[in-house]
Amino acid sequence: MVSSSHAICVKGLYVAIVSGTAETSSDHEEELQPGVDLLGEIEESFFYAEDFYIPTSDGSESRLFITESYDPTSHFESASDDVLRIYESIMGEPLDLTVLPEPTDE
Amino acid sequence: MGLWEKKRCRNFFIYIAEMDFDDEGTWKGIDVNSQPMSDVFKKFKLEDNTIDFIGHAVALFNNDQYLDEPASDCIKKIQLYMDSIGRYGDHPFLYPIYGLGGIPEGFTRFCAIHGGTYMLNQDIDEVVFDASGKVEGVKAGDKIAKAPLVICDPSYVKNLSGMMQTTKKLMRKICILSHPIPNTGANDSCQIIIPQKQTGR
Repeated sequence: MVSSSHAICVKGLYVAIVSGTAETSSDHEEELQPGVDLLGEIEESFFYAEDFYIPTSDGSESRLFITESYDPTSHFESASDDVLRIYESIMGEPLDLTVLPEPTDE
Repeated sequence: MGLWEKKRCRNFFIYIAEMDFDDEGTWKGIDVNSQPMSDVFKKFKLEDNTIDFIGHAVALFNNDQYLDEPASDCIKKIQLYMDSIGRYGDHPFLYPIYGLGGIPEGFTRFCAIHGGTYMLNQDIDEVVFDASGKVEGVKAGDKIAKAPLVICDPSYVKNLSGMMQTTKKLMRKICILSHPIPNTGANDSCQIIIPQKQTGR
């Protein structure tokens, strides 16, 4: 949930997103109920279900690199991993994120 | 968490905080590079609910596979969570002012500073390939932007068959509330993770 303190809506309103992976093939909206139940009274809600896509190849031949769809986690752990995967497919080696010490003035 | 479980959990977190992957002494008898994470949980005699919480709400794993995999990965994720608390507040997360749109905005600014060109609000009609199947660029109307490689998300290649496969369906419900979520300390923002086991499904 985020609110006006992050300047994403007017003061007095709060925006909560409940998300998950569908585990049944029927009523998806009902599957979110354990999360929705935590929210208390809801002014208005918008529900949608969508397909989750993954690329069929790593793009090394076609040089077309496709990311996976965003998954329903509310953080970017998996999205970051996907970016690192694409970096390695493009460059042929993993991204080195070691932080080097700042050079000091002599 | 009961009092004794809290003590066991505290000992677990101290073990994680003091863990140095280069100093075997801190491993306290567990080979963290080969033994599964479940062995670490067993050592501290943690209850299932506690393990669920640590694995899914702290280490942020999506499923329980990590329990059978070498402990080092899970330990590093917990260390990251612990190190992140207190850097910018008493929680480990960052969220952009004005919303997540700020993230691609930041990247496009960075791109422009380094001489890149960016187009806003531009639909792409198709990805253009040469005879050998290599990308040549992207086409919008009758204009083509040429490139040696193209990176895109699935929405740009929906009309190209065989490029993607769908493995599952996701659901999202955006809810507008006039109050913060109950029982969360009336904070302006929060993240709630519900591990599957906790739903009884």
